[in-house]
Amino acid sequence: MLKSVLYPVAHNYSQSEIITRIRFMAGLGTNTFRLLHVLTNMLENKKYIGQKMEATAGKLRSWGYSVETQILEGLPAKVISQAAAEEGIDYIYIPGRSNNILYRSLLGSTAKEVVRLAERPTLVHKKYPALTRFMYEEKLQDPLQLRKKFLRSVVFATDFGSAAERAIPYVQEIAQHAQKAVVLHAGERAGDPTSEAKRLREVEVKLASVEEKINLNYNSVETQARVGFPGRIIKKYSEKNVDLIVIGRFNLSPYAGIMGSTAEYATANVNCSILLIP
Amino acid sequence: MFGETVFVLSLVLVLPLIIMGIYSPSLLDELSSAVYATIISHFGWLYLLAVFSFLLFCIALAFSRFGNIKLGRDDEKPDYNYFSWFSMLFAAGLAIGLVFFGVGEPLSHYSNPPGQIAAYTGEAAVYAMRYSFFHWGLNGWAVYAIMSLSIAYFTFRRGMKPLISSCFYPLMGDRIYGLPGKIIDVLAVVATLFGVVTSLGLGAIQINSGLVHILGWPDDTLSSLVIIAIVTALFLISSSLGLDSGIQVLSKLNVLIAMLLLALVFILGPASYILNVFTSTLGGYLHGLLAMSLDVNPFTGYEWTRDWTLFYWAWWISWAPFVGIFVARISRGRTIKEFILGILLVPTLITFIWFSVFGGAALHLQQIGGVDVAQVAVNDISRCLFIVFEYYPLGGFLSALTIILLIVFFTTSADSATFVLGMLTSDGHLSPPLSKKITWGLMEGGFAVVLLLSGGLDALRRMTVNVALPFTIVMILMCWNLYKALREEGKDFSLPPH
Repeated sequence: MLKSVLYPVAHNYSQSEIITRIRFMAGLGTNTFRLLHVLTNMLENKKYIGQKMEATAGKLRSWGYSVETQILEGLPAKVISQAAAEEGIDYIYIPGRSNNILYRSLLGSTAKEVVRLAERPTLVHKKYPALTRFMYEEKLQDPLQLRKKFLRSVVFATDFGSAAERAIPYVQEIAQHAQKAVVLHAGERAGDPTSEAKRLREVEVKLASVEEKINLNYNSVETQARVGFPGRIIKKYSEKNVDLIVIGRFNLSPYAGIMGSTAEYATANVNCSILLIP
Repeated sequence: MFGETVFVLSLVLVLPLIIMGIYSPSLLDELSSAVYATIISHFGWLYLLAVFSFLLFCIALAFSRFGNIKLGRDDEKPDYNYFSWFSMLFAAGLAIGLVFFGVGEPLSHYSNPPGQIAAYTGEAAVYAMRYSFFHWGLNGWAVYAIMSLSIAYFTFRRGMKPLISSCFYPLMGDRIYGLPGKIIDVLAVVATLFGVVTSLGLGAIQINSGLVHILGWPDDTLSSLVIIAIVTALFLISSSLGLDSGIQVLSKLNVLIAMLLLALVFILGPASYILNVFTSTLGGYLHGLLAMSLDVNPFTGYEWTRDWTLFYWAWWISWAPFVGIFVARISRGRTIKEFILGILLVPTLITFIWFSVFGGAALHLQQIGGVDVAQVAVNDISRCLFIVFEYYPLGGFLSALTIILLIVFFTTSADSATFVLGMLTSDGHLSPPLSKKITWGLMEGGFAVVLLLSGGLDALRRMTVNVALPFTIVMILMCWNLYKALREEGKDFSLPPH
């Protein structure tokens, strides 16, 4: 399910960063890695970048990882999405970068754009600073240890729609060693108290059903039903020591077309990592 | 805990202002003027955008998939037939303003148009009629439509109490039963009370000026007090008879008298000129609706826009809680499309005909008859209708009929307002107890009398308009709530309508 990954790397990446991230992905069960660099201007030295990527790939191969490199040209988000779709990649790994509002406003966010365009599952990994702190500790060199350290608490945000259904196997797969999962439903309040009571009863039943499906994989599973704008609720919940949010890419209404989907909102605003399932 | 909160909070807010109006009308005047000037100067754009958005929202709802949703159970029939419904809509929504401004407004615009137009010209006449249509047309009725549609939907379709706070359930949930919800209802009570008290006072002055004109009735405060006492007694009697026997009968009588007056003025006046005015102004109105709706005139004529259009929009909004709750009450069983088209088109068309007949007759007298009736409008807007009738055959009869119409209109409005106040302060009871209605009726009459005596009515009128600002926000949120609730129709958990 998460066997092969497309990992877009920037021109100024460091080898140690790539290695650390690939170890983390290996902990998720990934064994085939495609490093992709997208050339966005004429000033970039394709040959030099290619050599640098190959050097990193060689080191990783020597440790037993299956790694390929690729350099393409175009708009990064579009090229990444297309490459992932054409190659039959299992998921795209996006290193989450700055949450600085000025940075996002001026330069946009490739991660956000990939989330909008990608037809493959996308993992936006925002925990790198913490990862770096521990990467030199001997015990965390093991990918599984890395995974256990950084995937303790998982939130599965569901609207009970088809995208959320498709996300369930990923919730089961990605966090089978995680300590705790929370199934979170954020919905709109019904128009009157009687309908609202009925809606809440329905939500409870559906949450229980999801809980049953993922229960075996976690030490503890709890369910939460909230009322309000899903993006904002997910953001609020992510502040409660959550490591990863799994979310089906739903809410593609005309409103979402203008204001951005819940997934896009969450990608831009939460501080923890997000796995988006299209 | 919140049982009598709306009643108590309303009194806590209203009484100090009323007492200030009695003992220190100048202080109330200063206070209301300062707030009014700030609001009108800084939020003019908000009023124009909001009111125009309400119109667009109404049209979009009517022709959307929600248009066929019933304000009640799917198999429910309307409580009132079209004639009764339109009569009550007309009486509650327009009331005395139509009689008051039918002649006065076109003449005022004609003699005092915005700076870029020369007064007393053909261009000024075109502008005067077009803006009279605009101020009494679709935009204003859209304000009432939003309010009444929301209340009717949440009451008859969703089984909630007929309160403005009920319309906020999708956004606020159970908080509508707490303080936030009560504050919304208190705002509605305050706006309704201020509006009806102001109307009672100003209307009494106008009836008085008509009686002075045709009967030589003494032009003093005592006469106005007698009129208020009579109108108060009449609407209390009507109120005690209930909605079906009281307001409905009065509304029908209203419409019949208004139609009779309209027909007589049309037949006895320059009929073909009036028809030309109607046709031409309708064309101009439809053609210029978008521009007028969004024209704040920031470069030239802002003062004119502030004094007329912005005042009107604030006035329509401040009356919306009262008219909205009342119209909602009489609209059970209609579909959303029928409701919106009915409330937008029929009263608007009748208003346009009214303004064409009365405004056209006055402009004809001014332009062709050579009578400077516009100057009368400048000096005393309430007298110009009676001056126009002086030049008509059966002028005395027409004036008398107008006074009767004014009294009936007044009684109907005050009765409807009392009914609404009773509902709002009895936790949304659809048939509020008589004791509550009588209490409110006496308070309305009493406040009108004391404010008339102290000279604080104009200040209270400005306070009424001031309440419109928070209500504009309330109404924008109301649209959002209504849309959210409508979108939910047909989902599994959405219960069958009540």
